[in-house]
Amino acid sequence: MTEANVPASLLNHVRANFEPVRPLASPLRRMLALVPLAMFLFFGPPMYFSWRENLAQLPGWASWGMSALESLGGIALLGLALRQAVPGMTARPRWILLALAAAVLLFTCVSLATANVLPTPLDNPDSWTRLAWECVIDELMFAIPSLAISAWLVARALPMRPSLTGAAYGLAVGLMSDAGLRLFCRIDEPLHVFAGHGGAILIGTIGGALAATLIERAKYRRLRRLTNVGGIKHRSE
Amino acid sequence: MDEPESAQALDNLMREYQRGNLAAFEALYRALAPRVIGFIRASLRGEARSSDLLQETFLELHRSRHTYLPGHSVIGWAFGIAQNVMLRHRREARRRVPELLTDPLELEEQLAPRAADLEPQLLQEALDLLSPDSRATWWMRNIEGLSFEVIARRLGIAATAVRLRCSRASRALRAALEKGPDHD
Repeated sequence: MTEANVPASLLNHVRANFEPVRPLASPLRRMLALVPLAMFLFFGPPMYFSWRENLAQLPGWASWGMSALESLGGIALLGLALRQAVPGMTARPRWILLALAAAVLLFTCVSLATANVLPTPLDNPDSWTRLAWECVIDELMFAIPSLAISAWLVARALPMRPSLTGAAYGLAVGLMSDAGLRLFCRIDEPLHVFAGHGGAILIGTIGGALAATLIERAKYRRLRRLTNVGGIKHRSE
Repeated sequence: MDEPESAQALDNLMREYQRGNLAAFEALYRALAPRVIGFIRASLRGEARSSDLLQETFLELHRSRHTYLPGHSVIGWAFGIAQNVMLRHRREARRRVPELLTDPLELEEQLAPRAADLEPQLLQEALDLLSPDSRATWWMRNIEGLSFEVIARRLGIAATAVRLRCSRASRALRAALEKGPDHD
């Protein structure tokens, strides 16, 4: 093989940028480190705004239980996104898509089950768009900083398919935020929940996909600049 | 350093590399470069840019050396990075104006399965299922990037026969990969 020895240009570059590094923690440990983030998203919205007025009327499994389930689902999806970003540990795209579909199904089931247990229609149906928009804003207030932290954690590694990975962590953060928001928002009317809460989750998912794609594109441009400017390339063929 | 072959030896080298040992990087390059270039050539179906992409892969490997988790497969990790580099290269190429494919052979090759889309382990297993003749022909064409004429001269058969053999091997490979065991 002609490539058996390290090309001088590559070796020089490596030598100039060589320092000990600490390996990333395993995806499981990094996922566990995100539990405080999930707790923040769980307790943050109801503690910042207020606990929902009709919380006492909801059975424990439908309020705390369903929120905990959403939170756990979000943590698991975030763990998958972190794993997806480690070379050699990447799952096939169809598994990621399946996980995304499962997360959407979880949100749908939680919302419909809650609406079934305690139907709370809108007092004024004409104001549903305003109320839905308010919930989008309230949820994004908590989701955006968490999305930034997740994006940073994934960007530290090397996601194979950035848009899918970004969508996974965006959806995960959306689910975890909804777990907290539903303990504040007293309206369980499906139209409101899917438009307001689901809308915020959708924005988070698209935002995550976009952020991861742009970050990876920027990282790649930097790499290409290095190979072009630094003269790393050597056409031996 | 000697050429490391076992997974344990590669893992030890990676740990040394992460601790800042330059000699470990050189030993890793010697051990991994031939496999990575084979993987790249199999994915590119030609050698035009394989050397550049090899350098890009090692540059990315150096930049992402902290993403190697000690105790895991070094080869799997390196192939993961190579696959990542190739996917980005392909996305970049797609953004550029696509050139019209006028050569039927080139068109046929564009339609054939690409190693970059496959798990390296699965590809290896599928290759093992081919007959030695088919495997050798497919390898010379897709890994070494030789032309049909050169392969024909090497094997002492007609170029048309090589072309046919390559086509059959690709078809068999695709079938084996579709049917193959699911490792997920």
